[in-house]
Amino acid sequence: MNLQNFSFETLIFQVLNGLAFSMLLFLLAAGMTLIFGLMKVVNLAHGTFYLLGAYFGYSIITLTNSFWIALILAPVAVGLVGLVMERFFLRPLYNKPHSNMVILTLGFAYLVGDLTTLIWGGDPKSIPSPEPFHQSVELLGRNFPSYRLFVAALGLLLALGLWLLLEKTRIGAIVRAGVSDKEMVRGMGINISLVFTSLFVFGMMLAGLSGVVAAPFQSFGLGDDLRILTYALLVVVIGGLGTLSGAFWGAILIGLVDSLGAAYFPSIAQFGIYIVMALVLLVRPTGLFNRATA
Amino acid sequence: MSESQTEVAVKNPALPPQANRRIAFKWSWLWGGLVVLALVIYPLVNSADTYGINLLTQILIAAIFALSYDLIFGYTGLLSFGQASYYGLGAFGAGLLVSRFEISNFWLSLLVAIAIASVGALILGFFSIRTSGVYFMMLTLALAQMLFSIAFKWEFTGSSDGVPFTRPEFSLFGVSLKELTPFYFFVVACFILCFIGLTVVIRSPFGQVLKGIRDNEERMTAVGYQTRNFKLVAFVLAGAIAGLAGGLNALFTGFVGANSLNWINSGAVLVMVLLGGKGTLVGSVVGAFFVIYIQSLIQGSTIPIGNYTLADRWLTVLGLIFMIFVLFAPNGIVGLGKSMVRRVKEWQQKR
Repeated sequence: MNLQNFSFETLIFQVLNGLAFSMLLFLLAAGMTLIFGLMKVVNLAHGTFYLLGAYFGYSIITLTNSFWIALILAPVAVGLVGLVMERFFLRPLYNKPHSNMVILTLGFAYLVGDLTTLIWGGDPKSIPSPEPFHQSVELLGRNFPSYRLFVAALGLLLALGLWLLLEKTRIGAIVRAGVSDKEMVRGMGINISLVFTSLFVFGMMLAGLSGVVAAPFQSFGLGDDLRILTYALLVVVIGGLGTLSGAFWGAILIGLVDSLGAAYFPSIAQFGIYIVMALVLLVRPTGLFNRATA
Repeated sequence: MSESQTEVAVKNPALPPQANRRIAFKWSWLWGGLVVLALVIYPLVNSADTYGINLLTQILIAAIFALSYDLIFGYTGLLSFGQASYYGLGAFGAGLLVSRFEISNFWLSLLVAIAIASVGALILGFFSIRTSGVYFMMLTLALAQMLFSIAFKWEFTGSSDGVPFTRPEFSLFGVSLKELTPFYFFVVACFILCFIGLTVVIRSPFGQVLKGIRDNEERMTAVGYQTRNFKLVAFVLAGAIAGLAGGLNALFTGFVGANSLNWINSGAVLVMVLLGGKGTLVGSVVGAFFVIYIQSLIQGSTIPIGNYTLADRWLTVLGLIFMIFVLFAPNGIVGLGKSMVRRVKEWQQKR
């Protein structure tokens, strides 16, 4: 353990770093968990949509020179790809065994992941931090990249927004009802297939958004789709599939363990998140927040 | 519930009449014999065709790998996204024994490959099989990714570069297995052994239980089977066979690297089984043949696409095969063949 220069300030910094990453993971896991709740599909192309978001953001910034335009447009573009995937590839499989859909998403991940290499090349890309967050702020006598604070705040805000959307609005009520009884929702005269499509597209937009948001603080490229998918899977496995709160606390746990592990136990940092997962699963095989069994 | 009732419940459903089955059995022996004959004769007739023999060796190793996956995916109904873990563990077991521990022994390498893969499958399987359904899929993928990231970072396993090593010397009946053709025959023998072994396993009462779990796990539990133990045994057996395939590949190429643990490998073996027809051993062999053959065609091609050639786009093709078969032929080539035979028969009956 690397304790020579341990200080309370460093710890706070690492926690803030971890929280920024947690919020990115939450955006991914939230989409994954909601889509699973409704459609019973685990989307293995989720990391691919994250990477697409980053690449689309990169191209839009190259064209328009504005991060904020990219932040709006890239998720929309990713959502369109999600629309195509849901309409033309997932839809024919709704009445087949769920495993067929999961296999299809893996094929989609290979295909689109490889096409990104064809279009943007295999070298890692990065986006500069946008105004007004391109400088560090002074925090506890140290410099801390202000962009990460922005990411953490944005993530918290979106988490709150998602919770309100799901718990307090009519749309949220329909989605929640669909999770517990699809046939009943259909019977109430609601177009469930439209709900499926919208939720899937929404989930992909969240994934795309986290891709753009992540791009300024970590370079991205070949192989990152799988890397981030693994994190998202760990989050939903730990938190429990189908619950938003599970995705939230799972993301915080994994983000913090990843960041603190890298800072204090660099030699076994790779392991940390898996050890946490193994411990959680030994105690609760279906995740911390899951009431029903999977 | 008594034991005899269970047996009936498992063995009974939808088997063709005994006579029919016996004829089908003989036909399959004939076809199997012809394939083996072709495999044995090929290098004797075309001894100069090193490319072809090389490709056949790769196909057979892939077929062993696909057979192992069919046992858990096709017969037990466990959709694992981490079968490459055990292939990779086998490869590293064989390769690192030679390169890092400097024990250059062919048999021992293969044994270590199988042993390490089995132990790995036992440990990871213990965690994965506690869960089911989507959790199982996600866990197998996450655990496979853990092994990959360790191998990719660790100096000992050659990190991103891999470890080349001198292939251990071994001779059988006075013929050095280091030569291409004798090694090919050794792989043919391994393949036949695995195929027959798995056929026996699947026809045994144990295999019937696995099929029962695939078709309706709750029923098997209700009937009194400890399904988790059966699944774990199948998982470890599949891991051991995958380890053999990985070990053979390492000893064939004289190289191990983190890429043997890559998720693309897990996907490729899934495609082989899916393309050939899951739940049929013949199907996984057919699938392995097609996938490796198509891969060799594509990787040898120079058709330009953008700044690249088609050779760089193997993953795109793999993804497309995945999607086409899941959407249009979920029972694979063997399934297509069966439905064609059925249609011809129906057509004959109508006349």
